[in-house]
Amino acid sequence: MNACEITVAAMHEALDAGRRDLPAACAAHIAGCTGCRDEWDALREAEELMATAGNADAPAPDSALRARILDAVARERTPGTPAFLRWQSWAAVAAVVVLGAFVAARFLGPSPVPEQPRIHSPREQAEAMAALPALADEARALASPPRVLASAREDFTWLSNTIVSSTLGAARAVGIVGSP
Amino acid sequence: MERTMPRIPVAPDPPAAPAPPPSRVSAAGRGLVVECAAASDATLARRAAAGDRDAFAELVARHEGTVLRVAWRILGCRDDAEDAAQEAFVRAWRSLAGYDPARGDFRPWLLRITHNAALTALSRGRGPVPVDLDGAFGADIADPRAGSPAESAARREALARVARAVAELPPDCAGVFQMRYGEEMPLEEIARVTGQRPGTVAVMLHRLRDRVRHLVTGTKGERP
Repeated sequence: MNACEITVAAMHEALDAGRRDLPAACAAHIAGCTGCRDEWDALREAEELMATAGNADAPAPDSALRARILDAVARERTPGTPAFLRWQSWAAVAAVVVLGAFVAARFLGPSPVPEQPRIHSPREQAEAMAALPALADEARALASPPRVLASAREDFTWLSNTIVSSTLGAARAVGIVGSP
Repeated sequence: MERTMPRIPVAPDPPAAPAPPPSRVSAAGRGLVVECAAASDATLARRAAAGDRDAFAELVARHEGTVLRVAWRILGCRDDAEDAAQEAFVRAWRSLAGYDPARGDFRPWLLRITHNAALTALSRGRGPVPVDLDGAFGADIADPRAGSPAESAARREALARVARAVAELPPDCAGVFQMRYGEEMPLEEIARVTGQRPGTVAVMLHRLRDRVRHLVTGTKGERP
């Protein structure tokens, strides 16, 4: 770059920064260079014209615009909820809906289709009828009070042993009871 | 919002002094108004983000002119610019939770929303409306240097040429022009609004300045 190009670049930099003066070296160059002096005068005049044009015809806000803006804002919800929380809220709502639909389908849906009774042959029916007295005797024996009591006693004993052994195991695990 | 300066108590008041005129704004309300007027943009934005609509109204009062003018320069039509300004403030209200004063001033943040709203409206609408250049620069523009009617006429002609050159700018360049010369914003702030580097904005302005310089030179040649 020669001195004139450097000076013109400095002119633009000065105008960009809102200054109307140039660095000393450029000012010294302008003093002896008619072309750069004319350029500087023209650029400053252009800058002034653009500043005038930027303000001359621009519209000014009125009270109706402000009222319109504030009315529109008044219809909005209060800010402060970050967008990701709003997104999470929608996701939570969607999850609840899906879960509700699943539960409704599982428990409130139509009952399963009952299995159609199989049609037995006459021979099978005769054999079943013949076995009925023996089944009735067996059922009578199982339902007799001594058998029921014995069965309940066995179940109670098994349940008690299970609870005691589980509790002891847990107590040993946390160190309350020492190992045997 | 009614702006009322607080009455400074001076004690003791003479017994015969007339009572102050009743005000429609309570003492608490007056304090709130004055507090809003004195608060910085960052403080108002923080309060507005917490739901304080009075604080947001003060921000609207401070920046509605800049927002309207930048939108108008991009869209070229006052009605469209008012729509874009309204849209920009509504978007700003919704996004206040995301505004961080530590990352920059409120004005470039708001103007970035405005810039995007105006360009979006432009892409959806019919395009920029030509500016009425005949009525844009009349005899009401005072020229302190115009010593004679001929010089005044020459300056008006120069301004009309500049206005025509600005009206022919692409919308985003027109927005940059308005921010630089209408709102007197520094390059760095304009770059934050447009999402460009300051050097890119500077090149845009240099080209515009050169173009206007040639217009000025032509005008000078036509002067008597």
